[in-house]
Amino acid sequence: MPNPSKKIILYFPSEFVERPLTNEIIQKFGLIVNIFSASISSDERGFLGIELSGNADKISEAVDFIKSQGIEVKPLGSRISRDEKKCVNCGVCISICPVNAIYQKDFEIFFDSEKCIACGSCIESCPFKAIFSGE
Amino acid sequence: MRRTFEEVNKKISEKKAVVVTAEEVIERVKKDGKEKVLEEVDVVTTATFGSMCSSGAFINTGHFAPKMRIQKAWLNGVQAYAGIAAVDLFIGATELRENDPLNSSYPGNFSYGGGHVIEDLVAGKEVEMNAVSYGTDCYPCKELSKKISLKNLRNAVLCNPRNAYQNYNVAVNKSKKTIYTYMGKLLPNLGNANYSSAGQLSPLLNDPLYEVIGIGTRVWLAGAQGHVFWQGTQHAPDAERTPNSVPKEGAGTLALVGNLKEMNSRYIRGTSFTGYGASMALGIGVPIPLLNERVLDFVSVSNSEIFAPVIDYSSDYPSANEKSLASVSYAELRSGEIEVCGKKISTGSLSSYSMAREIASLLKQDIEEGKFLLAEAVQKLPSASNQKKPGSEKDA
Repeated sequence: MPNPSKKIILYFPSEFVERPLTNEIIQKFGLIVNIFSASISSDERGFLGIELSGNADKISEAVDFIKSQGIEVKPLGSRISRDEKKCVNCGVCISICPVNAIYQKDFEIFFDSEKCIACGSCIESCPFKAIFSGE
Repeated sequence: MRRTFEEVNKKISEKKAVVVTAEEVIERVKKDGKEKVLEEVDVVTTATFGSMCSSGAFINTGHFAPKMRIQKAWLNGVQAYAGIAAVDLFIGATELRENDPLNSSYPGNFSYGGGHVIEDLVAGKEVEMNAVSYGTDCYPCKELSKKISLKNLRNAVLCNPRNAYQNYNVAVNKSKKTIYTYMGKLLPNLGNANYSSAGQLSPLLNDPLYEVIGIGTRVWLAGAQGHVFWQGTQHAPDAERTPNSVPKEGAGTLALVGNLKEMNSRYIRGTSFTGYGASMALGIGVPIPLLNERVLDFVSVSNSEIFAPVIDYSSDYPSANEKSLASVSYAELRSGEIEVCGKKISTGSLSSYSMAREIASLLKQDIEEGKFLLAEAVQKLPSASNQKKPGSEKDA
């Protein structure tokens, strides 16, 4: 049976950018950490997509540890879609996107699926519930 | 005085009125000059679309047999205020479902509230009404469970104590943790900035001293024709203003009323703010007749001349100690990035400019087709006490 594993996305403010967090997780919890995406946006916010594998209890301890550091943790979702009937093109989702995958052209919203990491930040930011995970 | 309300309405009735939106008028003045625009254009349409708390609807369900003096009522599980009369209810936009988990699992979703009930009614959906009472000799019924729909209600009137805020805060978060507010999710360390005004298209930003818009003004309200019935609650005309009289912070507000049965659910929608609560987004359009040059000057205002204060919602706002960290223009906000405390911050708009544009165009079309006549205010809204009164121009 394969080791339990969990894919998560971490969001951290600028002061964490320099911190060797993955190293801490490896050493503290004895987990295997696989980084599948990472970026620091223009305003120095960072996000890190990692897969933790190893002991299931250690994985949940590691997630709690990361959260306790003031870092936001989200499970990795699936593709993001938009219900065009519900969307009012306000643009409140734009500033929340850690990878600048949402943009506005002539006041219409567009999603760049190449850049999107399916973190789901835009889903919870949408007052009209126009964004959802899945096709 | 270049033209009167009567003259404008006569032209509208003859389908001859020339109408432009508050966005188009800016370009027209640049291209043709003030004199030509004043000569040619009769009406400028303004509009806004965004979440507006302090909204709700009065509903009269009509009597059922046996009759009931409703004491408490719920519509799709959202409580409506029943302490008005036997079958009159008020459903408020921000009321939540009885069993909503709220913020017990922080941040809560607040997926359904009074605004959603109103949207469902306007969309023609059936809504489950439950009501209880103690029973009286004249109203014996003690319990009621019934499906209601807008067309079967005796009356349904949208009646909003405060809408169309003239300018508003830009919300940021200076703390080290993410916060969830009525201005949306705010990321730590000035991670983003959210604002909420249609700026140059917004009704009261085009009539900064309330010289045209007043009590009785006919407005486009979610597709219906409604009216301003009073100044909105928190109306604060003495806000700080730029030399061209535009408030630099939240100032005037409008109380609006209209027939819910005539509204279109595209322009009246329940909204949910993660971690905060529910509200209702509403589309409003207000026509401004070009009565004189002063009115033209006011409606020609553009985003670069309208400024909003940047407020910290992690500490300053909740502790009632709001101080502006920066004053930024709507042109800067619309560019997608502002600078606050030496940091570049990406911006997000809660108000939909594209919907505001759509509404300004729809209102323009209604006026051009003679379907929307203007109503002159029967009473002025309280204006800034330190400003020149409009009367000092002798109705110019």
